[in-house]
Amino acid sequence: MARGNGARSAFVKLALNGHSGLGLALSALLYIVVFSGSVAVFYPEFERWEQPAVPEFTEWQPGAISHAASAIMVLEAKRTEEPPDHLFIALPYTDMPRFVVHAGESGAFADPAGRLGAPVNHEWTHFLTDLHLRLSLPSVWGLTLVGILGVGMVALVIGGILAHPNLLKDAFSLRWSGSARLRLADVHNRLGVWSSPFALALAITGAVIGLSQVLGFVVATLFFEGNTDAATESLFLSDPKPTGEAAPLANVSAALETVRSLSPEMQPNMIIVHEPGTTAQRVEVGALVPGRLVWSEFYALDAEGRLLESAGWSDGEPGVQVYASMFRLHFGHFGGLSVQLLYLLLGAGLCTCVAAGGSIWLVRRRQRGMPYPRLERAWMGIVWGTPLVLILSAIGWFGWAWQPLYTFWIGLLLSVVIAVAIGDRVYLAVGLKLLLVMAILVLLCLHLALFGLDAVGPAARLINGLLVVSVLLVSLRVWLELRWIIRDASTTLSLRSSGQAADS
Amino acid sequence: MNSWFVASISPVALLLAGLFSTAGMVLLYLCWRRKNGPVWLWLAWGIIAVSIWPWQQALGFDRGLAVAPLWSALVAFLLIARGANWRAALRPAVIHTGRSRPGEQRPWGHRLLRWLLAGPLFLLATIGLVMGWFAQSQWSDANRLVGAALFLVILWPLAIVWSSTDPRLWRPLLACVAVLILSGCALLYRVGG
Repeated sequence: MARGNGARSAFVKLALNGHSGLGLALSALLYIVVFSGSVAVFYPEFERWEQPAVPEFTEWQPGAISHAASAIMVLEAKRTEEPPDHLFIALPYTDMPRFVVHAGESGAFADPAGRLGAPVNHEWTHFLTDLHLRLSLPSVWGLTLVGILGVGMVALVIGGILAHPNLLKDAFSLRWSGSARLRLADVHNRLGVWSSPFALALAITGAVIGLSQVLGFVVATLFFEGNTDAATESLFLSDPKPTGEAAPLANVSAALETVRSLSPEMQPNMIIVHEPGTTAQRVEVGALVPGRLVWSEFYALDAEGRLLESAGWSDGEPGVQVYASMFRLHFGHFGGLSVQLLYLLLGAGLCTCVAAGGSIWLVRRRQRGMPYPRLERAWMGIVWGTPLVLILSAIGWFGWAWQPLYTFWIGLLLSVVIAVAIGDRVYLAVGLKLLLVMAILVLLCLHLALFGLDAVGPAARLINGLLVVSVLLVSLRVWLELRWIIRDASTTLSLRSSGQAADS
Repeated sequence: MNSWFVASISPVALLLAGLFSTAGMVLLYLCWRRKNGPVWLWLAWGIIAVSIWPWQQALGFDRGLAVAPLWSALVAFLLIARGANWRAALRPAVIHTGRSRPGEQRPWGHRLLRWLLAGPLFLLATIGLVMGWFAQSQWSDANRLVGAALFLVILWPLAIVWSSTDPRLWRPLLACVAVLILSGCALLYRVGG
């Protein structure tokens, strides 16, 4: 029995070492991906927040779609002689009540009559989603790196559960004792255990999305003579081969009517015309499927709006349906605002779990007499610097049109360098949080100054409301820490004065 | 906020699902607090498992399956927060710097091999294994492709955990090499050199 217990504790020690080693190796990048992902749950709302003055509606006039499609093709033709390979139309509905048309590099919002309005400008939201999906790296490299981080996260969840022998015994305990390590361990373990199904779902779907290109390449090389399109054509509708011969633009309104009559319970929300305005053109209509996790059902139609085939994302083979369900499960876009808020809360929990995990390792080093003070401060610079520079990137974009990519990464580097340079950990912690509060307040004021009443209108209300809540929460934390500092300082002062009295 | 995604939700089933899930979690919490016997514990887990069905009735098969654990996690966090001593949380935490105690350090070569094994070697081995399965499987292309992706992102992390926890590194190393050789042979046989 004793031998069995010894072997068990040795295994737990090994599992814990493996878990902390892997966590340490991935911590910084994993934190950035998890944090940006938690924020990016609201990317449709961020798009609306970036341009809150754009008209919003869910009904449009007959012929508006064809009118908007033709108008954007004309706009793109004025920009370049090269014909666009895609025409994209986002149809307004309750969750995204905006009518958007894109062709090539041109993109604009349209009104209910299909007349083009303001150009689409979601630079900051695109930066945010790129940060989460690719860590701002070029497409395949970034996706693969984030996919590998997803695999690492799966390993961390499994390793963490194996390293936790008292999973049920400690299931609900949260000891706010005086020991920092115990506090951090309890927070890390409780958050980690209860959000493990959520973390696994996100990590597995994220890893599949991230590694899909590499896997597609391997499968294509081994089984499809290097043809990646052939390898993945069972999952997607195929693109037509370009002919380059001009033809009248496809009748997108007729295509939409065909899909509506075919599946009246579905909500068509996008139309893509491949090779628009040529004899090769083909229309693809995407429609939301009620009560399902699948991203959409896609229908392929010819230029006159006759049905050719469907992608089978909602009723095809199990593999296709599983693949089609991964995106909504990963992004949290399947139950309206309540599920998005749940994802934000649990995502914030995961961020805390990753941050606490890194801190546990650093505190353990300190308790063993081998502290890494610079690394401790650098970790603080990443944990609190990431939200700070994300807010600064939005301020830079709105205020001076600075590229968010550069503001974020240069800002994060500076945050770490300054954190390492500042000697006092306590003041650094409070300083970073104070800066974060001020930055959010500046962003809110800037948004209000730029957009006036639209900043409190339906398009921006949610994001600005969440920013106000963040200010309150971080301020509460700052107030607590300031109280500790003041109490600590007064204790030191009173000790000093009593010491001086004794000396005199 | 009005959302298209909530239009198809059945409110009665949703209420039932929420009540069942919450009841299961509260029972689990009470078992934990009062150190109740295994019967109550199993009953609590049973209620949580059964509550998946009303979630599926309310939201649909796959959406219900996705939301059920999220709700349970939320209730668990609320119960943990309710039981925590927040007065103690207002006091600052203390970090004691201990005396230097150099622990057992493994040689760099050993650590490097462990990382190489967990990373690139097991990635190659799991890709080989998955491609071997892909080659032999009779499933359709779509099912094989998605199955291969799922196998990869589950098998590789398991291999990472194994290679980082096994004290005898030669065991995962041997398994890795064996899988690489076998899957390489299977692929050569199936695809052709």
